[in-house]
Amino acid sequence: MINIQHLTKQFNHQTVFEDLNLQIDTGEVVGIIGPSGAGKSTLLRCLNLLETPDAGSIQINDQKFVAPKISDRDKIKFRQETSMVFQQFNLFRQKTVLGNVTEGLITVQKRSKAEAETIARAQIEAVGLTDRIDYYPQQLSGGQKQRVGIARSLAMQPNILLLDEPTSALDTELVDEVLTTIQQVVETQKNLTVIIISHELSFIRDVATRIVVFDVGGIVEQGTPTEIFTTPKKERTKQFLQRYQRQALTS
Amino acid sequence: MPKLIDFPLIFTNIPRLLKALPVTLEITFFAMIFGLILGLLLAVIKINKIPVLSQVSAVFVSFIRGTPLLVQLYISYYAVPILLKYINYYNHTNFNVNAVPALLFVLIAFSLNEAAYNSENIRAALLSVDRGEIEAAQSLGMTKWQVLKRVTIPNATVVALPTLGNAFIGLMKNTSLAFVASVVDMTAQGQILAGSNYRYFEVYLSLAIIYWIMTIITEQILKLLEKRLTIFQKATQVVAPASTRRFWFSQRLEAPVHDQHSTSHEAVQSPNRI
Ligand SMILES: Nc1ncnc2c1ncn2[C@@H]1O[C@H](COP(=O)(O)OP(=O)(O)OP(=O)(O)O)[C@@H](O)[C@H]1O
Ligand SMILES: [Mg+2]
Repeated sequence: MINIQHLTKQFNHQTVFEDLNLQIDTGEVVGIIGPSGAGKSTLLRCLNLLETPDAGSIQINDQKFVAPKISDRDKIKFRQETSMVFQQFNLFRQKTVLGNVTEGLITVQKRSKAEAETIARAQIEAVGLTDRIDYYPQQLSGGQKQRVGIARSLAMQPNILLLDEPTSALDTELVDEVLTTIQQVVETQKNLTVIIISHELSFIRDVATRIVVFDVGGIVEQGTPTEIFTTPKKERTKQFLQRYQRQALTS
Repeated sequence: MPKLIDFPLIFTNIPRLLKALPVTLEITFFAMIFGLILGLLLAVIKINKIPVLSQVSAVFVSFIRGTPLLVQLYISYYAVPILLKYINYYNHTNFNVNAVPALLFVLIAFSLNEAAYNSENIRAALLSVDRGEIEAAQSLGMTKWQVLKRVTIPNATVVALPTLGNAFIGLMKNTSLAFVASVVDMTAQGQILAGSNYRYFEVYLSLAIIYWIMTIITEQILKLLEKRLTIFQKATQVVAPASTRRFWFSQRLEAPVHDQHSTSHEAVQSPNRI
């Protein structure tokens, strides 16, 4: 359960969003769409406290953040509710695939090496990279890197998985393998709350239970995929979708 | 006419000089270790712009870089006794100034000197670490210290190793200045030897040979170390068995062995140094 109330975030006195409210139930799959620079990443990063909101509050299950301050200890507890998959993968380059996935289990969750490896192996298997388990990130394709990123996040057994444009740094032919992996995760882990920012609109439409449309200043509207994609209420949503359809046709 | 150059003496000197090698190595290693720790501290202070401390450390670094090492050694040599006298006077203690080993003055001077020079390199290396990797570690729930230990320092080490390696070699040679504080390192030992037979030229040639060989050995060790630390960059390289890879600076990188073919169909990216 996520409850975001009156959230405000500024960068150097430039407001990204103001008084933003959003409630998400456990097990929901929320797709966030919207134009570039709208503040989608900023919201997701606030949920992981990689950015500190200036006002408002975020509650995730039993953990609560009330802007603007949080102690280092509470911040770490808060972060353990969520797990982030990054656009640029952000794998630990000095560690193998296995090392990337065990890192958090050993360092943060204080599991034994053996236990961590058992969990990691299962997770790596789930994203189909068992034959690459001893490879370094440098030796992987972009799609494989992102699947490691997903495995690393899921191994931590978060309640909430945050994905920030997980496929937009990938060559077109590598996008599908990552989307398939995400779809499998969504289908097999019904209690996992997923928030995904993506420009892969047809994928979002298939996988999400709810769509949130973002534009500069905050949320424009939200609804089921059918509502948003076939009968959008707001002009800004229509414009955004039209622009996207045109781009999809020309590309 | 006596022999102009006593060639055999150049080589027979070497074992006698090597008796003082432990002193030289002791100064080098201790000064490097303290220099690294203090250098890291200074770098972290500067990066985080900690008030007062960062100004103090800036002045310190500027002073060390702006004054000759020889002068710093003399200052340390005379400052420590004065400091002890002060402490004795105000605390009514009775430390014996003469009981302080000369080695201490030398170690303090070399450590501070290394710290000042290393701090800039360490700072640059810390700042070069990929922000994304740090954020990944943070989002996993690591504490600041864990992020530093598990991500920032290992990545920065790879970047800083060549410069720190050069600093180490420079330090090893600079220890020859230790004689000014009446520490008997290899160079001082050489001066003592030559003082008895007046064969100065031969003894300095012997010393040059020893320092040169030490530098070459160190360079080789550093090369191996760099290879070991950058194993993650070598996409298809076959890795030596673990037993030959064990170094004092060992990192927990379990290296896989790949044959060329298994990755040939993979999109392997060109190595990008951080
Ligand atoms: N660290 C930062 N410092 C200053 N401004 C920032 C920072 N991060 C983001 N911004 C600004 O905040 C606004 C929202 O950025 P954000 O990255 O959240 O957009 P986005 O919706 O994710 O866009 P995109 O689709 O391009 O990823 C932008 O105007 C951006 O320039
Ligand atoms: Mg973004």
